[in-house]
Amino acid sequence: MAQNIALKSVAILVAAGTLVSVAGCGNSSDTVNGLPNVTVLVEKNSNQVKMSQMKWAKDLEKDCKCHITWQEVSDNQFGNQRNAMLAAGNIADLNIRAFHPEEASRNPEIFERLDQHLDKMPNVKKFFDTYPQARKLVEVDGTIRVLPSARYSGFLASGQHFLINKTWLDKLGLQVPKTWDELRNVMEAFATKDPNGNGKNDEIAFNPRELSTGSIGNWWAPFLLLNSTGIVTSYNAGPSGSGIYVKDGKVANYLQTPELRQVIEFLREMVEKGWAPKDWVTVKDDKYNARNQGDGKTAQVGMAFGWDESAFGNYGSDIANQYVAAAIPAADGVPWEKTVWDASRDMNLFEDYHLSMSSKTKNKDAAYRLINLLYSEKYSIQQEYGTLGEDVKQDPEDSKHYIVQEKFHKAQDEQKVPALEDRLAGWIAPDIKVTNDRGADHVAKADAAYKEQYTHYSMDKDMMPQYVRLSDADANKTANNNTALFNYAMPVISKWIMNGGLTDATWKDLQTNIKKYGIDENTEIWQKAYDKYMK
Amino acid sequence: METKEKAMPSTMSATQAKKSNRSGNAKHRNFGRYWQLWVMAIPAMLFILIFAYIPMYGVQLAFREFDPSRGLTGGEWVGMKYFKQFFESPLFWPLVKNTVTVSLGTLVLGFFAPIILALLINQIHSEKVKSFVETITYMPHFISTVVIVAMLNIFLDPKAGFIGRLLGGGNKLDNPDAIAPIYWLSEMWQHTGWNCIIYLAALSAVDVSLYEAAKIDGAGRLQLIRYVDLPTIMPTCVILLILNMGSVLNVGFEKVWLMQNTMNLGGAEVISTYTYKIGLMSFQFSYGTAIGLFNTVVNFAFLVCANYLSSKLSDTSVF
Repeated sequence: MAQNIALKSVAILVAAGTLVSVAGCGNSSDTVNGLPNVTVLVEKNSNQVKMSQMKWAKDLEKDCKCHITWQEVSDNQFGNQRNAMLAAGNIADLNIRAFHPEEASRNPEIFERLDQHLDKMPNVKKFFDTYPQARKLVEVDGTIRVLPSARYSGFLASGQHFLINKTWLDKLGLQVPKTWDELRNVMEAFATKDPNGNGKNDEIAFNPRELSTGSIGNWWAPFLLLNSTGIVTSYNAGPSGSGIYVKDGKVANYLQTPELRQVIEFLREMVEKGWAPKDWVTVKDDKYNARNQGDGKTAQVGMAFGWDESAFGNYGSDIANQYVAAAIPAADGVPWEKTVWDASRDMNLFEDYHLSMSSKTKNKDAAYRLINLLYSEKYSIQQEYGTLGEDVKQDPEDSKHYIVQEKFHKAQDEQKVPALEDRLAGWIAPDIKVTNDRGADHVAKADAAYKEQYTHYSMDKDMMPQYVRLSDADANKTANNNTALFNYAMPVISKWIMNGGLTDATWKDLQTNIKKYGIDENTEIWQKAYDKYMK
Repeated sequence: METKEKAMPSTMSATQAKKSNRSGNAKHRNFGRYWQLWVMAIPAMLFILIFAYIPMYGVQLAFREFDPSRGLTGGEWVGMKYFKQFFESPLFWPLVKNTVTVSLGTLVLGFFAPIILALLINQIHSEKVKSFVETITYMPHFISTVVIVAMLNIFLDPKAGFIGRLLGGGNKLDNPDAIAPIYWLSEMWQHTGWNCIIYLAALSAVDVSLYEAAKIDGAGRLQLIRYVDLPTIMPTCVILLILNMGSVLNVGFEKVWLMQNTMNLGGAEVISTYTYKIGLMSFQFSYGTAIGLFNTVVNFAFLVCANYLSSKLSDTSVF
């Protein structure tokens, strides 16, 4: 009897457990209010409002005659989720700025092939016809599973700039430095002559951004100083962060060059002489930004690498207005004609991972309709600048001219942006003109300082184009080599900068050791890929 | 002590022999008599089955080439390829060294500190003071790891932090050799109070007449601890030690991950953070699984060894 009851209890428990787990598997429905439902995942910046608060997104649903279920994730969140999502094979119907072309080609079953359906998306076809390089960017072995994006053409500018406090220079009667020697003088003056005039010795002459643990270069890394020596970096994206560079069609790694040593020694000198903070190597971004922005009234920093003057405060604020972008000064012993600047311009305009579609999408026609709408002029503009007629207006006399409104700028300053901005899944044709896009205007203005340095190298032979990509096996190989390589090298380099100890002998040690970690193999792999794509 | 050690194994084996003689019938009767207990245990057993045993089928990923389209078990069989890759990696020895340093120190400190604290608290007579001390010492246990690391950053700041100013020199968090001690000590500070609760419970079981008898025999405080308290909590100590040995290579991932920076990476890269970088960040699930499996096997070996040694030496064991 007792046993019977026991067995029954087990049966009931198991049954209940199964029911619960089945109930948990409920899928999102195919239709909502009779309209086909499309789920759209969008990776957003923390300063953007909810999709439900973006007016244009509602119009989009109307025009598409479908219902959109938005899934919104932040950059950080998504960085941790993406690979787990891929492994589970469970992605949203459409994914905006989520998955890269390599990821899609590695998981062909999960992603829909989009190149076979271009006839259903005439706007995308027009995009590729206008910008053939955009197509090249996402094509992997002749297939396209991810669509690229193109912002307003005013964004053809590197995201990396050398920014210097012009007000301080003027006050001290100094010129924008053209060589490292002049730069030394300026830094010394900034650090000792109280240029912000508050009577305190609180000036930071040069404020470098924290070094990363997994690579040598990334956005606004101090190794942008390599451009002073004639080595072209490309820190918006690509293999430049792991040291790869191209000169005359030959791929090499700048970790193995005396130029890097020269830059490390210069950075060491800055710490030693008190021009750069004693802890900058490990200072987290929040503190780094706080230093750049000072107390909101008095500038504290003389120079830094950044996007544009907004690194120091809102556009138009007292502090931000003090800074200008300047050409990078020439390193010791390097003639001006040899100096160059970061080759990330294309990467700022185009990005290669802006829209992908799940192969399991139920309402495929609605999804194609939606993609086509997103890539239309009307919605591309609205994705980047907010709702038409409110945040951005069309010039009544010129349909190809849009004017960004003050309302949008205010929303930007308040960190409540009603648009996707650079995350747009769309494209803006080169013949469209946009006025008042502060981001584009300012970055273009900053980039103008490098006009001459851009001419000091060949855009064909001295940089790794964005569309050069590695095979899966090669990508894993280089990733593994790099993990080991930078695990070893970055602490060594950081130590040299912070505590000194860079001598011929220790430099030779570094060179021997990085060879053991497969640095030459990485170079060969990239050379092979470069040759394949440049043929 | 010696006679006890020798005597006990013989009694143990006698009962074991009896048990196995009538095992068939006994099981039946046992289930019939205690079915309520079995029912109570079922959810826990199901939990372990579903979340600990069933996922083990995924371990084969370590021996296969992961192919997302074919699932966990569909990839091509590559045998020991990924283990070889890990053992031959230049990072292998540094990783093992860092992991062992960080976890062994935590294990040793984490073993002795709660015992000492429990013995000390047990000496407090006033109930009020006792519960006050207990509460204060176990509170830090509830602080989340992120906050702890932020606190470390603040306290160790050479300019503004009170520990940093005391120690002088550069930031200790930037020193790869200081990472392990910082980890041990902060871990001890955070968890000692919590971990001593179990010993306090064991100590409350001490027969008061034992104290009285010992006092009549002229025992002082230290002698009471030595001859009454310690023997009482010894079995608890040993069991906890064995269980902890099972995680000798398991360094809590979050804390080390958060403590890492460019300067201290040489001492702060441990197996779990490396697995995360390789497995999740660069999408090499097979390689990541192989490293994780290696970690588990080592832990398991330690657990079995500790258990074996302890059952030989002190007659206490988990299984």
